[in-house]
Amino acid sequence: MKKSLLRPLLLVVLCFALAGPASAALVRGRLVFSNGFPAAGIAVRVVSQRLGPSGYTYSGRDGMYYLQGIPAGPYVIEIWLSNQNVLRYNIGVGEPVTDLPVVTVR
Amino acid sequence: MSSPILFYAVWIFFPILPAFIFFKFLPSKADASGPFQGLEIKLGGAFAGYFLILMLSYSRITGMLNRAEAQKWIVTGSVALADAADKPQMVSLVVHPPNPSVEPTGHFALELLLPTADSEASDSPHILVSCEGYQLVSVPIVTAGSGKLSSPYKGQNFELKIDAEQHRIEVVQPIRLEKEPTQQYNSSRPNTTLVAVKAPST
Repeated sequence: MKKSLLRPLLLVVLCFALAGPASAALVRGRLVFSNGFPAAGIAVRVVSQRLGPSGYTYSGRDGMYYLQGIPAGPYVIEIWLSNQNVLRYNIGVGEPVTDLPVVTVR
Repeated sequence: MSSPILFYAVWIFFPILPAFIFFKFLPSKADASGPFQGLEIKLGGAFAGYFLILMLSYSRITGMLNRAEAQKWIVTGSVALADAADKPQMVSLVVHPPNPSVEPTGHFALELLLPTADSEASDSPHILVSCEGYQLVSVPIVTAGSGKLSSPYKGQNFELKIDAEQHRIEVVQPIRLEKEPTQQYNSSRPNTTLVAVKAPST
């Protein structure tokens, strides 16, 4: 009886050991103005109910932003146009490189 | 705005304390007299001591005040684009100097104005470091509470060594720029969707 329990237990432990830590994704996207020009210098972060807010990143001259080390799961992405004007979207992070659709600001 | 008031308040009220202590506890016969700014003055006792300290420190305090004011200017203006259909927000402003450039060793130095405790704008500046083919990295320059280790989720760890005396901030570890993934960003084929968060009803 004991032997029969030990084998599946060892198998589970081995599975966890091989799996390693949960993988974190790179989340990236692009911000543009309504005429298609890149929107630079805009603060972006994701907020998880479980992990809280991530650090801020900023969009570059090409409008691209990158958030590294984001564990898989549901998030709200926040795009801070100003303190009073924040765009919020629900997103799901799963792929190692999670590409978000282009967001048009203002 | 409050800084000059604070400077003058300290300058006027601070000499009262030593003047009071000296004349309360030590026998003294201070006497200050002579021409000053076109007026003939003749002061005695504690007030003479106070007046002397005040005048001796005048040049020093105004020098400090001038230096503090010289560091902080606000430049305002407006930008007009030839094509009225384009939006002014598309313009990014870069100030020269400083013209921060990265040396062959990777070292850089730049001058930065940081908000003080009483600044109206409390947002700390960020240094945005970008390079073709690499992911942009933003480095927050926060003088309070820096040097804490953060998780990758909270952003790349930038330990800042702050020398408050010399007004120097050193980003201790190199700012590491990661290569863009080989999988190019394709705006027409995102692999997740954006669902607008409904504003909470009030």
